Amino acid sequence: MKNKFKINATDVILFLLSGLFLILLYTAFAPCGPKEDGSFMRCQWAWRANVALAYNLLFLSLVHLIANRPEVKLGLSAGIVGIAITGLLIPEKIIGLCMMDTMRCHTHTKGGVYVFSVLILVTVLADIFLSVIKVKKNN
Amino acid sequence: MKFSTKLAIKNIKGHSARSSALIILAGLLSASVFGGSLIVKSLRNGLHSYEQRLGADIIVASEEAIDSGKYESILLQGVPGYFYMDDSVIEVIEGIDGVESVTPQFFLASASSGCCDTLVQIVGFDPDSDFAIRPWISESYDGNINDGDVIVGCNINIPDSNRYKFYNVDCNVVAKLEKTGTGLDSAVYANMNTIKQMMESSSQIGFGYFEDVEPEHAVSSVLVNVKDGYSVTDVQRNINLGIQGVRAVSSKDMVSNIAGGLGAISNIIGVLVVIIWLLSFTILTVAFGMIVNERVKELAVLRISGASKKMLSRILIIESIILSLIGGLAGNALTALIFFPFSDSLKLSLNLPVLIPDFSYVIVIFATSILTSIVICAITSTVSGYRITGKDTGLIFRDGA
Repeated sequence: MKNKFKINATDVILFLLSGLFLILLYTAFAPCGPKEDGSFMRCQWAWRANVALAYNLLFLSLVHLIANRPEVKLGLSAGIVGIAITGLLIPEKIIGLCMMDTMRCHTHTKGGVYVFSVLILVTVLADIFLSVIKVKKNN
Repeated sequence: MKFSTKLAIKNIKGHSARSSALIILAGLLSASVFGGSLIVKSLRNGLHSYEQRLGADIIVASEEAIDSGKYESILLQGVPGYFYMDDSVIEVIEGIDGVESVTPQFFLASASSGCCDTLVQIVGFDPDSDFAIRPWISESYDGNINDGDVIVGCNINIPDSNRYKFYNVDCNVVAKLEKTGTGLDSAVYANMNTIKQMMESSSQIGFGYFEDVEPEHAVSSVLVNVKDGYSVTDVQRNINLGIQGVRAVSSKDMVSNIAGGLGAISNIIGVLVVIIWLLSFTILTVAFGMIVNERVKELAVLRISGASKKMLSRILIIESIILSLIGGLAGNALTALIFFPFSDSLKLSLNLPVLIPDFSYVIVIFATSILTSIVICAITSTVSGYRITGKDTGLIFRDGA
């Protein structure tokens, strides 16, 4: 039987959130630039790691959007959960940010990463829930 | 599960677009109450904390420091600054009638390489005479503050080594203070000897902070407590008249300036919340009315099948409660998700002290706002349901409305 191509609301939300997250990381959520001597503060590395993860998120959510089979979507969603959790841990646990909580990396970057990571996590968990139901139905 | 509840859930699932629209409206209603209350309470807490941290009846600093707003910037935003006057003013102030106690404070901005990749405000105080900072520090640290010891505000993270270096002076971090929501959260506190060492060292390195004041005779501000029975305003006036080049301001005046700004923002938020409420209430009333009108035949079929008017009303109320509960939870969760990580941004952009209320208060307003949303949705759906269930079933099928 030929599978009917269908895009779910969670697929679109996931893709839009990932795209918006990447754009905002370069704009509103970007940390301070290099110091006067050209060296970078710690927040730059945390930000770069999050940007790399955001590219991965965008790619996976794009594949998720065009994937047809619920089993494939389920696998992609599991990957997205891992990336979103890693993104959440980068600012405070894995790399860390600058020493002052009033600096841009704390007031903008960290908040943005938290908000988008949680939103992506919630969306992907909802998608997993729906995919599991579909997989069960198919079986 | 009761039949009416089952039917309500099936109705919600069966009309996902309609249900989503109502969830968004209920979410908006709840989130506006939750978010508005959270912001107003945080600003009020911040003002209270600011008032507490001033810790003196009168603050005396150089005219330039007060008039240019440097002093206020340090307290409110934690913008590192420095200004000095000769410590001979302490003796003069002590001699003014009505002055009970005085204590000096020293402000020094760190070099950027110190601890934090940016400038940090270093505040020095005299532990023997201090009555403003010590009570606050004692909430977090009971021990002695020896030479070379520093205490950091809650916005400064402590390194693993527990040590910082300011102007080549090696310092040991002994405690981290509780959050106050003011600029003082971004400061480092040290006793007089430690800060004098830093001052001397900074002069030797070539930082020209002190201009025409000798570093060993420099103070940034003097905090004054007034004796009982004396008017703060009179003492403040006497200081202003008696000492050239300094400005005395009362804590009340400093707080009332902030309170004015806070009042204006609270009013704006209050008006916005009321507007959102009125809009949401009107839209929900219209929406429930239209939905019930659209479902008039469905409800009439249920009536013919034996459902009582009470049961139909119950189905509509259960539907509205479920939708408003989901909307309220989602709206409030989203508000919390945005508010908490960005509270420092809010503080910086409003230029006001912001102190997030404690967890129990947040839970209370979280629940109250959802409850309000549920009650409003239940009322609007009850009113719409009452209008429809009052119609004759036969007429509904005959007229088609």
